[in-house]
Formats: sequence, C-alpha cells, structure tokens
Amino acid sequence: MDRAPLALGLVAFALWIFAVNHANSLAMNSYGLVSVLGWPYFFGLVLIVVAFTVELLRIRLRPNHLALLIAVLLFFVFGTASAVEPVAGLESSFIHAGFIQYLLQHGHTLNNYDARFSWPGGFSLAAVLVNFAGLSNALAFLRWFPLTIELLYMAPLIVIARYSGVGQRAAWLGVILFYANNWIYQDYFSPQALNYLFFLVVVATVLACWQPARAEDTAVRGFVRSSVAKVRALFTGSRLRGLEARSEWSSSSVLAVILLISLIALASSMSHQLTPYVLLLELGACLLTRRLARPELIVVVFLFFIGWLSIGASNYWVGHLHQIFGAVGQLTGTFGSNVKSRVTGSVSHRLIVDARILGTIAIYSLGVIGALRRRPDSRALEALAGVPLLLLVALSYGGEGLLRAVLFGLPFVSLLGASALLPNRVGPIRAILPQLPFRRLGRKALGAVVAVVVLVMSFNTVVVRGGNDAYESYTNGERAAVNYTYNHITPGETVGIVAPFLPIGFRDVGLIYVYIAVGQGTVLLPVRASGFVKNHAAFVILSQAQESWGVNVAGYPVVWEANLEGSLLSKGYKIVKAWPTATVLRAPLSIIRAT
Amino acid sequence: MNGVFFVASGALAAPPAVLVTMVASLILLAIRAWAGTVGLTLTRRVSLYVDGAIGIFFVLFVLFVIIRFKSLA
Repeated sequence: MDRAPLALGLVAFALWIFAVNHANSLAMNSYGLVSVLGWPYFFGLVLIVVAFTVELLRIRLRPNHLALLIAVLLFFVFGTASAVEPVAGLESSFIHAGFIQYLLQHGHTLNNYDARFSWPGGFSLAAVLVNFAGLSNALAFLRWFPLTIELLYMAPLIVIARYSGVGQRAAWLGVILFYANNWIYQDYFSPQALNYLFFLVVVATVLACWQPARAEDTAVRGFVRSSVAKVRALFTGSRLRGLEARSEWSSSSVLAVILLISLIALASSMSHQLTPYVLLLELGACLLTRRLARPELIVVVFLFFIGWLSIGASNYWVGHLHQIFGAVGQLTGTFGSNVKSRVTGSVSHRLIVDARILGTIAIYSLGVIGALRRRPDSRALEALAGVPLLLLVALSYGGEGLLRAVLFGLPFVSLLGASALLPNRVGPIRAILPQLPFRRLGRKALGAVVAVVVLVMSFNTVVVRGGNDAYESYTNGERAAVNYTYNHITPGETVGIVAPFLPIGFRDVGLIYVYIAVGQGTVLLPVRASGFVKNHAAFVILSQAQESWGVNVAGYPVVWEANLEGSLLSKGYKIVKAWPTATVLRAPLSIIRAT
Repeated sequence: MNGVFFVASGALAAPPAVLVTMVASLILLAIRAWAGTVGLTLTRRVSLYVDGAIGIFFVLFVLFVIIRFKSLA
C-alpha cells in the first residue's frame, strides 16, 4: 500500500508512452493536440492525479515521491506535443535558432534587424552550448525544450513553496497547481523561458534566505484602524531599509546570495526585455512584506536593467521609444489588445480561448479564496501574486502583456490556490474568512476535492495548451518545404508566406528576406497574389499550418489556400515541389528581377 | 574637457556617462550591502555619506539615461 502511489505513477507513465506512440499528428483537427490523443492518455492522466493525491494526503509526506509524481505529470502536460509532433512547434523558436546560428557564424549580433537581437544574452548562451555539443545549429534543442525547462523550473518552485509560508501539503499542492495551470506557452525555445528560470531562482533564493524578523503587530483593533496601521507599517524607514527581515544564514552565505542575485540580474538584463521589470517589482514586494533585508538588490536590478536598455539595446529604442513607454497608464487599450483581440475565429478556436480565460479566472479565484482562508506570518505571497499585474499599467508589450503578467504571478497564485484547500491555521495574521466546515467532511472528501481540482485544471491545460497546434505545430512536409526553399534561393531574394506559421527563419539570417502577407493582427485583409508579386517573392510556401490558421483564426473560407495557389499560378508562379502538407512555388524571372 | 562634457547634451548622452554613474553606484551599493551583511556598524556620518553618494550617483544615472533617450530617440 505504501508503494501504491508510485506504482500508479509508473503505470500512468507507461500509458503516456503508449498513447504518444499511437497518436497520429497528421490526423489533428481544429481542436489541436487533444484531438489525436486516445483513451490511454486520459486514463493515465487520471491515474497520475490520483497517485499524487494519495501521496499528498499520507500522514507522513515523502518529498521524493511527490516530486517524482509531479515529474510524470510534466510529461503528460508539457512532453506530449514534443513526443507526438515530428517537428518543434512555433515559428519563433526557429527564428531564435536562426539568431543563434548567426552568432555562431559571425561572432556578433546583426544590428537593426530584429528587436530581440538587442537582448542577445540567451542567444549567446545557446550558441556556446551548440558549440560545446559540437552541433552546427540549435535545431536539435527545439523539440524537447519545453519539457526540459519545465523540469528545471521544479527545483526553484519547490523552494518557493517551502519558504512561502504555506503548509507543507499546500506547498506541494501549489507546485502541481502551477503546472496544472501553466497553459501559457512561454516555455518554447526562447530567452523568456530561460529568464523565467532566472526569475524563479531569484525569488526562491530571497524567500529562502530572509524571513520576517518578528511577528507582525496585530494589536490594533478594528478593521479600518488595523488596515491603516498595516499600510503605514509598509513604508516605515526600518522596513524600507530591510531591517524587519533577518537571515539565519552566515554572513558569507548571504553575501554569496547577494552576488548571485546580482549576476542573475545582469544576465537577465542582457537577455530579456520584460523579466528585469518583474524582478524589480517582486523584490520590491519582498522588501515591503519583510522578506528582503538588502534593499540594495532592488537598486542593482534597476541599474543593470536601465543601463543595458540605455546602452546595449539602443539599437532597439532609437526611433521608436514609444514602443517601450507608449502604453504607460493605458490599461483599457492594453487589456483590449490582450484579451478582446484573441477572442475571434472559428468555434473551435473561440472555445480554446474561452477555456484559457476561464482557467485563468478559476485559479485566480481559488487564489483569492486561499488568501482569505489562510493564517500567514506575512502577506508576502499575496504581494508576490499581485505585483506582476502592474506590468499591464506600466508597459507596452504587444498582445502578450497580460499572458506574461499571469505567468509571472502563477507560482504564487497557485500556492494561494492550494491554501484555499489546505490553509495553514496557526499564523499570527488572522484569516479573513471564518473557518468553513469543509474539514469536518474528512480526509477522503478532501482528497476527492483535491483530485478533482487538479484533474480538471490539468485536463483544461492539456486541451488549451495544444489548442493552437493545428497551426502552430508543423509536419515533416512543411519542414522539407522550408529546407528546399533555403537550398534553392539566392541570397538577397525573398520568400513569401501568408502568415507566420511555418518552421522558417532558422538560417541565412540577414541574407534571405521573409515577406509575410498578413500579420497576426485583428484586422485581416484578404490575401492576394499581387502582394507576393509586388514584394518580388522569389518563392512562395503554402502549407497546411497556414491553411488551418486562415480557416480557424482569420475566418477565411476553407478553399482559400487553393484559390491563392490558383491566383499565383495565373501570375506566372510555378509549383516546383510539393508534399502532402506543403507546396513550394517559384516566381518567374520577370517578378524576381523587378527588384 | 570637463566643461565640454557638462555643457554638451551629446556628451551627456554618450554611453560612458551612463556607465560611469552606474559603476559608481554599484560600488557604493556593494559597500553598503557588505557592511550591512557582516554586521559592520558604520557611524551615522559615514552612513549618511554612503547613502548620499548613492543617491547622487543614482540621480545622475537616471538623468543621463533620460538625456540619452531624449537626444537619440
């Protein structure tokens, strides 16, 4: 009986292997990855959640077993696409591989080419790894990167959970809730995925190193009076100087921690635009909630971040500074570009988007209940969960700002969500909600609730995370079409594609131009062959992923790509190579030479 | 040379101005953090000098960054 959870976990893992081996990615429909997964997958998912719940509710916790079971769940949620789809997903990961190859070939970045090249730290690190591994490019890293990086996140997440002030069981539940709700596809091969690891490591280190120096003063009676007293206490000199936090570590260890965090902040400043902002906010939250004794760290992060933006990234902001500061305070516009613009497209696409929004609302609601139910020793977790939302007020980050804000808050919201089910009841700060009679129902009922919550959230994430895979994942035919084009195109010529849903951009950066007929904006114009002619596209690649995007997201008729192919042929383009999922067309010399 | 440096916004917008104030602030912050961590008690006057110097270099840093943004953007 003692080994039952582990045995269930092993069976679940075997079912996962069976399921991914029998899934046919070519049969995928508009609902994405979930449409090709059979019953063994879902049965395995149920088993792993049950195994985790049984292990979690044992009288004596076994951290190794819990970590192992969470790792198995990671294969279900983050490893399935890598195992089922023959080619890595998302065009951006291929573009990043292209940047890395450029660095390998030239030893420096390409100025004025792409904003991401102004933060080359992550690309440089990957170039070092590629060289170290004796590879010629980074393509081998792409496919299994999401699972690998999510596994790496687990160590700092466990530390955060352990030192966040929640109970032991709630800590483990919080870790699995983080993974069960992480549908935000930011773990693909990218600097932001690496920087998220940096972010987690910094927060974990701070929480582990410093604790509140004394119990919060709760002597003031009355809701209004005590609230005013709490707000005033936040901004007292001693708290802002970090004197209300203490460390049990030796001074040399604390100095090493300060040095480590400073180095990570430097690396983060050079490799991602957004993460240092969030680090700044989170360290500020730690200081105010008495979990950071060295306010110098906040200034150091600011100096590195603004210093790099000012000097190292000047290529990016010269000429378009409004892109950085233009959206300050424009919350409505930011929210519109983040949410409203995504709720468009076919029924299946809207269902996926709605499920994402509902899933996010669910975990945040659970987090609010947890914040109201628990008796903590400080409100650090609430502050850490809330401050990333300030990004929406302060930043212009395209349509992804809200996603990033949710992602950065998710580890803490998940722990608060876990506290809704397993609140700690002994902290000095009183719980806002009265004790609910939930516990009277007993351990089995609690186990059932935990299992249902984790299962529903995991299932939702499995569905919505792969929900775009009909156009964000690629086939061998599409990859072969891109390779064929690269092998036959002349430097200086242009490749035309309809939408950025193709594994393109991984080589010849700066030599081959890519013309994208439509962007990812909300106002989509009909795709015309004349656009490719005007832009002298020497090759045009039509593919299954682009077709699926057109039908499911852009609202084009089902035959739109066939019509476009006909129009291109009438303009003089010729089909030079075709696969079941991709077609390459070559322009006549008259169109190419008009350049 | 110093006169030229302080009157020309182009010079203030140059990377070295930002870099120097950044490094100066970092060194002072490192001293402050080290003293606080090892429990070295600084006199009130020394603390004031360190904090004041950090504040001055920090303000200069922000100022140079703003000038750089304004003159190059």
